[in-house]
Amino acid sequence: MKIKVVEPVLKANRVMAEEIRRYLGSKGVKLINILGSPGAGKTQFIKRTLEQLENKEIIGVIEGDISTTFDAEELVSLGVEIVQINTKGACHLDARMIKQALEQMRLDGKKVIFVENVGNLVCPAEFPLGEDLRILVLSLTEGLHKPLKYPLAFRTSQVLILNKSDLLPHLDVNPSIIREEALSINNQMRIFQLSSLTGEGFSNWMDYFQNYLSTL
Amino acid sequence: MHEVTVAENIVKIALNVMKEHSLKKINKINIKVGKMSCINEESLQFAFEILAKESGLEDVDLHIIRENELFDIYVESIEGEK
Ligand SMILES: Nc1nc2c(ncn2[C@@H]2O[C@H](COP(=O)(O)OP(=O)(O)OP(=O)(O)O)[C@@H](O)[C@H]2O)c(=O)[nH]1
Ligand SMILES: [Mg+2]
Repeated sequence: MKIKVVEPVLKANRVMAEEIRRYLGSKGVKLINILGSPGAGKTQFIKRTLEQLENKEIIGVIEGDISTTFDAEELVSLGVEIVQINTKGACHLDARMIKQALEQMRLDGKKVIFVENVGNLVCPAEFPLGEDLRILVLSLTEGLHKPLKYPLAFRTSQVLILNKSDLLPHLDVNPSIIREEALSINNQMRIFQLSSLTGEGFSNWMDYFQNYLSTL
Repeated sequence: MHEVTVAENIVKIALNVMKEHSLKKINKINIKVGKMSCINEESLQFAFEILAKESGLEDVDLHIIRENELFDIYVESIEGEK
């Protein structure tokens, strides 16, 4: 006999992610999931965003790494609350890890929690964490055709950061090709080309983010 | 890259269905995988084979159907005997 099931294999994660979203919503807090390849500049991007923000105390950060605490240490000087998750080998964060991390985070007075996912352009895309916004950080040094090679990450993110624009003169990369490919996968995507190191192009992103904050 | 997690969940779902419908044996599990899902079929088969055996599911055919529009992984149906 054949039994119709139609059950998502990663349903447990999805259910918990939805719980987290609702729980945070009741506290007036939104989660922003930041993903991208190793070294794309996720930490640097978070750091500069925080540096440019006057009311940093409304932000919390959850740092996901397979091991080590380098990225969390990088952000400590900014005076925001940081919770480190070590996945001990797992190639992505999942909702259960976020739930545990949130138990250690003070939510009073917070509006946004940045989650830096494990560096990986593949797996994190398949695990929602209860986020309101998903940001994909892609560095221009990663070369062309990433949207077509890793479509799920592009399809499920609302914002694309084309990072390391300061390096463009040294690269044989035409960013408009990446833009076109990204939009062919996800025509709603908001794209910001910038350098998290020098700050060039950052103001467009900050305008967008300030506007996002003002709607919360 | 997280084929083991996926395989674990497929086994869990199969065992639940087995219990719910009082099946003696499961012959085939049909799953649907979106074309955007970066699941490697060989690794998934490998992980599934090991985990299924550990849970007492022997000789189960894991049948993977690739779907164009979907970007999820679903257990579509399960074939077995009462
Ligand atoms: N030139 C340049 N370098 C950058 C930029 N953003 C980040 N970097 C550098 O790139 C390297 C990696 O940046 P991180 O921010 O650590 O990258 P990440 O994505 O957090 O890496 P993982 O957490 O390991 O996945 C560091 O040496 C940064 O200084 C940028 O816009 N321009
Ligand atoms: Mg980092």
